[in-house]
Amino acid sequence: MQMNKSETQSFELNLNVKSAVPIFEQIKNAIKTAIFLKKLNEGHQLPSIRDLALKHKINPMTALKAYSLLEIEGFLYSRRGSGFFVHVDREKVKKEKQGVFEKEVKEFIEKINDLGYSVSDLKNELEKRLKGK
Amino acid sequence: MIRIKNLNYWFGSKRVFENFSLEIRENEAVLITGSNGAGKTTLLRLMAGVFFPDSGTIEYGQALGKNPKAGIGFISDQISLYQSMSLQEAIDFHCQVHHIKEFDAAMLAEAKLDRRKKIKDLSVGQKLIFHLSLVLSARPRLLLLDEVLHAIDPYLREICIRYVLELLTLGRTTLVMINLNYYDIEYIPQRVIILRNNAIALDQPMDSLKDKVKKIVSKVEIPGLPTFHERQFTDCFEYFVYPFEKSIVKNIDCEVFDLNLNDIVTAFIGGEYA
Amino acid sequence: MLKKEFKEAGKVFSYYCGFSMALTVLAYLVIKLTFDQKLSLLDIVELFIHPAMLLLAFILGASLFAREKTEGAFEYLYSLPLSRGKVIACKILTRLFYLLVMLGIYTLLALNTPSLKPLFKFPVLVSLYFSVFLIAASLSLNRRKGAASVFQSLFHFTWISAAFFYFFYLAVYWQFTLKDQPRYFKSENVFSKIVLEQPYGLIASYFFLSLLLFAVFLFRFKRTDLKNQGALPIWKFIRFAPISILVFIFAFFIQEYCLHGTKSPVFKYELAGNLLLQSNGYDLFIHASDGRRHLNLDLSGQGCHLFFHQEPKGKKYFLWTGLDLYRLETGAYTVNKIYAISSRDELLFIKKSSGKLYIGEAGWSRTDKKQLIYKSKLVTIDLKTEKYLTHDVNLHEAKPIFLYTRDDNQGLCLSDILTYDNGFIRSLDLKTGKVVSTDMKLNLAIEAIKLKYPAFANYNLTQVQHVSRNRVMLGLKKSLNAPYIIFEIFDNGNISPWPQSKYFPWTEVDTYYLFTKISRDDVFLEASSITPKSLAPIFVSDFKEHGYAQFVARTRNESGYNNNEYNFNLPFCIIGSDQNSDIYFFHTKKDMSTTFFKIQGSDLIFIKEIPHSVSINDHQYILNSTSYLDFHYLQPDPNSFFTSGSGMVIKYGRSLDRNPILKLFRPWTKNYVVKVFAFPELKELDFGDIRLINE
Repeated sequence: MQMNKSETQSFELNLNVKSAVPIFEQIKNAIKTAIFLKKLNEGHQLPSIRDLALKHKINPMTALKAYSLLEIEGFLYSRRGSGFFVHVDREKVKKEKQGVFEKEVKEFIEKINDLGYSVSDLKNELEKRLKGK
Repeated sequence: MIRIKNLNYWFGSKRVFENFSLEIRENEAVLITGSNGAGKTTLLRLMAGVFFPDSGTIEYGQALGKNPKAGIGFISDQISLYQSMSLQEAIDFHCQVHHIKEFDAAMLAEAKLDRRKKIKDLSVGQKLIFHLSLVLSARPRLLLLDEVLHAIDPYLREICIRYVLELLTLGRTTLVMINLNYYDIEYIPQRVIILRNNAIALDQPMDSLKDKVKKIVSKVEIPGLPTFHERQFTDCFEYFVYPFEKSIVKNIDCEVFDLNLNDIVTAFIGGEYA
Repeated sequence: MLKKEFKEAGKVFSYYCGFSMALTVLAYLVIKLTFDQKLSLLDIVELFIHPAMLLLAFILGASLFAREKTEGAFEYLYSLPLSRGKVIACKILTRLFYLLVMLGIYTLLALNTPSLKPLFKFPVLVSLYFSVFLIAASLSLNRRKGAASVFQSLFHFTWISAAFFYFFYLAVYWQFTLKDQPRYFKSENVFSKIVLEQPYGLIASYFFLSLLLFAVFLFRFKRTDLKNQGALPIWKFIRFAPISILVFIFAFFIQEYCLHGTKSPVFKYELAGNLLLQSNGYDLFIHASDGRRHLNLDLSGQGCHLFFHQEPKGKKYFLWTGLDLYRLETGAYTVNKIYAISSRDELLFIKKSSGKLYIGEAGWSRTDKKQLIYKSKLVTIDLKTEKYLTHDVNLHEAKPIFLYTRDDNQGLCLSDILTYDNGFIRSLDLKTGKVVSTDMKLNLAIEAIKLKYPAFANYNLTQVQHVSRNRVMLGLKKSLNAPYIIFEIFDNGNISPWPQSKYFPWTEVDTYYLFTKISRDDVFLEASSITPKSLAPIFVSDFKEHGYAQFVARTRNESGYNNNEYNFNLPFCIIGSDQNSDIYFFHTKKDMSTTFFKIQGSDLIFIKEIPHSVSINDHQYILNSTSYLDFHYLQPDPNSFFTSGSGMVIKYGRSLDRNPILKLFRPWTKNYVVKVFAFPELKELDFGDIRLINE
């Protein structure tokens, strides 16, 4: 395991004020996305709770909650005194990514349905687009 | 951390609280809000021990020990201090009373405050920074902030928020703040309490708040919604709904909007005025 | 917290001290320059120091929360982890410290300056200041800020204290402490004189009141939060202000009733015409019988004399109070001051003779060489023109005139009786108004005696008595226990031992006084001190004949007088005679009581004995003047005087207590009681109701 102390890569954290998604979820999602996109690699040190709290003006407890949950889920580990580090478990990442993908698709289909289109309409539209490409 | 049971309080002949109860857990960060005159400041003062309840009890958790005031940091909206003292004198006095061995002057340095000056010669914002630095230097276990942040410039406000967050990172502080402006503190509280008509109208964790409070806009009237506020326009009806469930709007032609904290509180207060 | 409170209290203390010191110096300079008095800074300090200290005690208490109030720091204070008890303890203890500093400074000052010696007993003083401090502290949490807060505290302090004193006085003191019927006083005099004479009980209970109020304050303060700031619910009492005013009025009328309803031992005596001399035990004053006009007499002098001057139109009345001479106009009542004895002088004698008043004064003054000498002067006041002349009649440097020795409508003999080694005697010729020396005669006379009677060569002249203008009696003595030899010297130069000497048991006489007084054309009285074993022989002899008709007075047994009382060596003193030509005289015993006699015809009649002191309300009053001058055998009793047609002995007594409060505000005031006895029986006169004077 490489610990790149000098490279504390950041991830994009844009908090949505109006969103119904709780902040800790938003943090978790942002980190996971960054892991998915390979912006965060194994062993990269994440910003400390304090830095996160001060930078984005969030309650350190919330940041801690996000990190703790990620640790439980296995996406990061903590070293006492050093901080929090990314852990990339390929299987897990794959699984998670799959989960996200499925969820997005499901939500997309639901949205289409709400608009009044059927799944077959969706299929046709997709084919059209793919052909055009 | 603090438990209020069956509090009754009168302010003159006006009854401020009637059988009011509230519990705040250790290391919680709570935001109390509501319209002016809803009793927020009074509540905070009662928590700080500056007001004594007329009946009912206020219990403090074990973390505050035998002398709760030693672990409570309180800033009221009046910024009460001995104005004729110089900053250094006030620091010495505060440290002596609170048994603080070393005073952390980083905040004063950032705000560029001269310790030889007298408190009365400072601007409102500078007074607040100073008062806050005094309060924070005691590392209070319970921090009570009245609506102080709205009247100061962004630079000082940023310093204040930063130092409060620093305190919170130590993980041993319960925060109760009163704020009417949520722009830069929205992510700090974990729990929101809205006071309306001297009672708690809403008490929700921040995480679930946005789920539970929504605005429904429809062209026709929708009766039977659990609204706390309604608005009618020429072309539509607005319903501010709490608590919101997806089932409420099933098979109803309407649009559901998420709200930010400001909108929620406004609607609550608007409901009060309506 | 303690440090902060020390600083705050110290600030108040030093500001106040600085201010009051500056004010004192300023007052001193202003008064000194304006009135050109021989004032010292210490006099001003003496006058102001107690009120100043009381005010400081009050301000220290009233400023308890001054800073919190003006700076809006209550919220901060209440949010601090300090118990209410600790807060109050810090505040009170620091201010108590400065209170003690103040008392310490005062004590140091008082110990080094006799005039500033603590006027109260020290514990009383201390408890008064603490009471004021505690009450002021109890009232300090009112709703105002700064100076207004202090004034509000002062307002409540005043009415609380006044109400307390008033009700305490009425309820407790009046009922339980005044055994005798009270004297008649207006309310302010009641407080200022009776109550304040014995303030200890009152001040002790005031102290308990302050403790009570402070305890209430402490109890309330424990429950005081930011909302209810007034720890003493004074505003609740304000609602009852109209009721309390009514109660005050009611209590006042009760007091007036008590005073009016009781008989008071006040003396009233008609002086002349429509003028009444009245005394209520504290003041002596004159008022017209129509009750309207009054004059309060200052009795710090040495006696009260009334003189008449017969004029073609009527009589003029002159009243000498020991300090001032007044002309009293009866009818259209007026009192005009004619002459005032200098405040630094003492009265040696006052004598009326043929339309003139002779006043002998003496006092200390400084010579050019800054030496202190006792100088005397004779003042002649013409009763018709009311003009006065001053004669400087020092017989000897530093030896004053003590008295006159005789007058015969022709002249006044003045002598210094301390030593007669030189035998200086002067005479004031009443016709010419000139003072002449007669020392030559006496010197020669003494030499002549020693030549003629060599046995007495070693004798010293101890007494000189001018019997008449041309007859002088000299008393010589060798030593204290030796017999007394009396010689007579006549104008024509004849010297002879006084033949009556044989009537005196020489061996048992230690001192021997002669005095004579011409009372009637045909009789004059000589008296002497008596021995333990015999009664005093009283001799009456005829002056005109130059001979002596022996007269033996009735003895003691018949008048009921105790033999043993005659063991003294003080003289008799003639008061005067009445319209029956009875001669009244008195003599003062060793125990200082006064026995009064009169000679009626040829009988000696004992009238009355008036004790030396009298006790009124547990106050002791000495009924004789304590001036040594009064005991002199040649000095008539300044407390007794006669008016033709009515005679009166006025005995004024000085209180043994020195009233500390009166001394503070009126240092020249003494406590007096006046008893008036009217001849012929020396009945003590009872005064009816009188009104007190407003000056």
